[in-house]
Amino acid sequence: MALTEMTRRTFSKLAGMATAAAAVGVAGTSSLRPTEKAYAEDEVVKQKTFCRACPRACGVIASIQNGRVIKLEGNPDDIFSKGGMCAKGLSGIQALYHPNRTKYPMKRVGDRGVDNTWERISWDEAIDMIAKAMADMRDKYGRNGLLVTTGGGGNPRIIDSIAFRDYWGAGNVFEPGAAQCAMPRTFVQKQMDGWLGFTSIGDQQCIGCFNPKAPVDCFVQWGGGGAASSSTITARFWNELRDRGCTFINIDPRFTHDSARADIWLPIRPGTDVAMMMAWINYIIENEKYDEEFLLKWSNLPFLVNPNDPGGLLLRSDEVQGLDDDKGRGYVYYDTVTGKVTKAFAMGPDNEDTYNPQLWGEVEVTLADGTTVTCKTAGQALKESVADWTIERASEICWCDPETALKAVEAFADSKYGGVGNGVSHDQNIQSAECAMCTTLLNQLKGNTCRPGVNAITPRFKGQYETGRERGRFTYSMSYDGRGFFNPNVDDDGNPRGPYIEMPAVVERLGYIEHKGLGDWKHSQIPAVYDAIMSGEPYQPRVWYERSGNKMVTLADSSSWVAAFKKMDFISHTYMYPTSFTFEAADLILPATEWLEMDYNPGNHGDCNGFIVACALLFEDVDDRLIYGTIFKKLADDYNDPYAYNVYYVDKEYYTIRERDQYLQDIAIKGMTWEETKAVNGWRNSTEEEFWDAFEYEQYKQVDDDGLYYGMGYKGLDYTTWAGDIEDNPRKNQMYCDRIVYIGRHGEDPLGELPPASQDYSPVPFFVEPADYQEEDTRTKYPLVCSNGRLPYYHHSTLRNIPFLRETYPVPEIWIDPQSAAERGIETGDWVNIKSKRCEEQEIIKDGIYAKAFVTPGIVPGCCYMERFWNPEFLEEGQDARKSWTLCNYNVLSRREGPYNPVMGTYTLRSINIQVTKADHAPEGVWTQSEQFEPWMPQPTDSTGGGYVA
Amino acid sequence: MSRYAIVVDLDHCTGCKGCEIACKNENHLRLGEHWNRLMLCGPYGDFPNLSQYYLPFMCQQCENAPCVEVCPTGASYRDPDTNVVLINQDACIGCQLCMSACPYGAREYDEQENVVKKCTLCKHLTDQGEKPFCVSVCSVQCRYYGDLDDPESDASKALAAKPDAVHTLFDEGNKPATAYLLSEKYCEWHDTPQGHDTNDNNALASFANPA
Repeated sequence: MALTEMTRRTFSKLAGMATAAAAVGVAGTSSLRPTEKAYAEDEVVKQKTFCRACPRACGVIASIQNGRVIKLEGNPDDIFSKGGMCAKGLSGIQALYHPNRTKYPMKRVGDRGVDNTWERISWDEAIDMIAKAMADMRDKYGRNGLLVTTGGGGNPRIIDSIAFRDYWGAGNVFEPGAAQCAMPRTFVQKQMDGWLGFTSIGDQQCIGCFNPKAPVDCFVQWGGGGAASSSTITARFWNELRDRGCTFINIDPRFTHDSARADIWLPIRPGTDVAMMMAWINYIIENEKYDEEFLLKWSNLPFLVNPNDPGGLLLRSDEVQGLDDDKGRGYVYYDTVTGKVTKAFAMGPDNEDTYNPQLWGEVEVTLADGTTVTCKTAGQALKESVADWTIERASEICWCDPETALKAVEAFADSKYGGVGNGVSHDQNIQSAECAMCTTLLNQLKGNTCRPGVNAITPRFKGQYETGRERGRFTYSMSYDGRGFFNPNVDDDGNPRGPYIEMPAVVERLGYIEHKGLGDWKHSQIPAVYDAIMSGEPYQPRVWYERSGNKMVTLADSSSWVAAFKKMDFISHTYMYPTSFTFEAADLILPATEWLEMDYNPGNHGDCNGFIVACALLFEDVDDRLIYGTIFKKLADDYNDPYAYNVYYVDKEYYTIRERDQYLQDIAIKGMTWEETKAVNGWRNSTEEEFWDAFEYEQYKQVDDDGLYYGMGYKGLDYTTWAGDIEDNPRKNQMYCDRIVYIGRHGEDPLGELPPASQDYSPVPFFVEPADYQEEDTRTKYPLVCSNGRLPYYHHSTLRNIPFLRETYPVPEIWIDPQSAAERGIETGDWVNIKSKRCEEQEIIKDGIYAKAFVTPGIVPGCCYMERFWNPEFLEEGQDARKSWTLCNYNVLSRREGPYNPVMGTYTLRSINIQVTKADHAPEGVWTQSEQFEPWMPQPTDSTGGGYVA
Repeated sequence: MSRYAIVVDLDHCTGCKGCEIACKNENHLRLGEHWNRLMLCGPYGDFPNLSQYYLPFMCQQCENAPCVEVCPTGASYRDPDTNVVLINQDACIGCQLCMSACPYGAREYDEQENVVKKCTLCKHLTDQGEKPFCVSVCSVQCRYYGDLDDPESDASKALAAKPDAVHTLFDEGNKPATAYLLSEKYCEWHDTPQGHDTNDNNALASFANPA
């Protein structure tokens, strides 16, 4: 085939350059280990699989010939991607056969951040290094020094990192995303509306607006670059949505494809979203554009607020005279028919006529102690919290045109099935939780829960095949365990299991008590982890297991972490290729599988089901899921670890890298071998027509076995929507988020009561300026407000080493408006120098970073957008590896320091203040020309069977 | 007679560059070689009243193809069945006259093989009854391939669906057959667009400043 021809050609041309390959890895086309050929000579086999260049996991058909993957095309059976593939997915072969793949475990020779020299070791030696480091730490200091990190860009199975820490019994987990990506949006929304239909644009959520059969008449794309995040799915569905006549509103500082096709583009200053959202909420309440019946019947807005509670908790029935003898503590409301303060109850067809609550205003209430107080309804409290937020005031703060803002809110307010979708930009500011709260409020005010629009819930068909279940009890925390689903401490039959993470370790999780939203994913707060590493307080993290791409590009203020690495006893890095983090931090490298080498279930895709399956297995690569089991077995066998012994030998939660066959057999379709499973992979359970027809709406009106409506946050597909002390659940949503106040004081951890945070979380939204902008000195010295975004060619920090992608987007762009550019003498194509306050604080980046200017009217004047970037070319032999992340990397400019979001602990990745000047020279050594990427062209090799075989 | 070509709906094209990468993969192009390029046209106007579109472009399958006319050896020719402009690599002497004649910079000189190459509409696939790869793999399905003389072809149907939105690149008498759909409500069509791309691509410059 021509690919191999091309590669031979490329390779012969490259023969003289073999020594120019990276210091890490071994260039060459020979396999490390011969395997028995399991294919017919020259036959082309088409294998259905799924892409994992990003979480959207589009259906793919891989052509395999003589054991090598030679072509990728889309699977037309996937009704989301419909046979489309984007530039990221189409780069799968260049990623798989990249000459700089990490091919086997290697340990560092020399010093972190100085030497980039590595020595090949066996898998057994590598596993022993990790186990020994963990055991030494355990013996000298205790278990809580373990730090496990991962990231959604580089790791498809981020939950495994949490499980590893939990089975070990203590320690910390973080992702540069998480509290900065997805978690705030999903956490806050589910505390409030309780339903699984998320509004997150970038995560294959927000599906309600895709359904061609749904009468969605207005969609607000608020701060999520849908077309760039997901060219194959979101971009296409939104094109079709607009073609169907839906009014499309795009709110984004930069002018994108979606802005250009929107009916209204509302550009606002990065980080000020909550100001505009509160003005929209105010507008809708003031102009009575809300769905009154929905608010009365299904929301908690009629419930009364306790005026004696400093944090604004709702009044409990046992605090009210006459209701204090009622069985079961509940919320209370004022009934307009009976004229009485009444305990709220769950409605059913037989009792709903007796529920006539007052929505707005104040009520006199006699408390159990005989005193009388005036209580606002929650609706009234919400209304007052936004009362000062006019469109004019918000527009002034957001640097936008008030007429456009008004036009936008009017279109949304007047729609019948209008919905608001949100994106990662909201999670990358210190107002992450409030952005999510406001988005939820806007949807709820319009009654948009389980309705046609963003929040619709995907139908689930009975599977054509039943797939097997892999070992392990992997759970997130608050969403599931709190309700007793998937309780990690009992087995399927309810029998208690062995040692697992326990209470003291949970409270010790860094930053968790202060920012309890982190409990959603059992994470720690990144700045709290940093502070602990640097100060040793409250304890010293010591052993770091990192499994993703390039932390230097994804952590805020990343150059400050170089000092932190020095404080760690041991750091290992598992990834497909070396990154800046490897050079700066790692003592050990482990080779992970590319998506064309993996086997796992990425979840259903529309109604196309199946596995990502290994189409090749190169070098000594292994699925990282099996590495964890191998470490536990080593800890049990050689280091006398009771947790590990229990995990591996008693509960049998893991596989080792020698047990891949067992893993495959366990996950395979029941009654089939893995080979048979692969043959039917990518199957459909319904037709496209059936899939869209099967959407159901208003599930909360279904009557359950007890004769009552499902309501909000009751059971089935939903989450808890009442505070932990409420015994009589009225099944209402939490538009006034009493629940989040309660979580701040008590937590909601499956392992028990937590100490309170130092300040109450707010049940209603509030606005604060972005952190840099709050500082007058900072915004004077660095006057431009900078955000970043998403391109269709890269996912987070990935793929910057793919030759065809780099030749088309070789260096990061920074967008700057014509006036700001003219003031600085900057023209399109100029190299510019960019600095933030962090350049004063961090010696390594004192000279700032570089990008190429695009002078465009497509950005809010006074604001910039810069793409995240790093330069793997500096990891080539003879180069200064540090420059791979210091020359063109936006995130060295972003802000780790507080203030933080109270609920989530989010720090500042976007909406930082910067200064831009015309650079007097191009940054030396950055590859910009096509031919420079030649050393990275693929070098196909035969499959070896991976590192699974001894 | 048949007239095979591609129609691109620019109302839908998001500029993802999947077609650019797909073309390179499928036709085994080297670094620096592009038979299909994409650029941003605009944004036009002043903040915040802006409009823009992305323009992917390749050989435009001109009806009066100047490249065929100037070819001294007959290497550039029209397929008698499909009317598609092709290059017979064995007959090409690498004189590059055709490259000077092409108004769109759609042809590339291959130094190693001393021949000129360009988009074949994936002849190796269409001969088997498949679509060109950039069409089948397009993220938003905005590319349509087919016989413009057959009203039932995907391309003809796409043109018929938006009759007021049909445009071609600037025409110097060569009559490009490739059509672009761009609705006026989204952006005004520009014969010679103000283009922007993120790489240093010489073809963009030549395209932006036609003879």
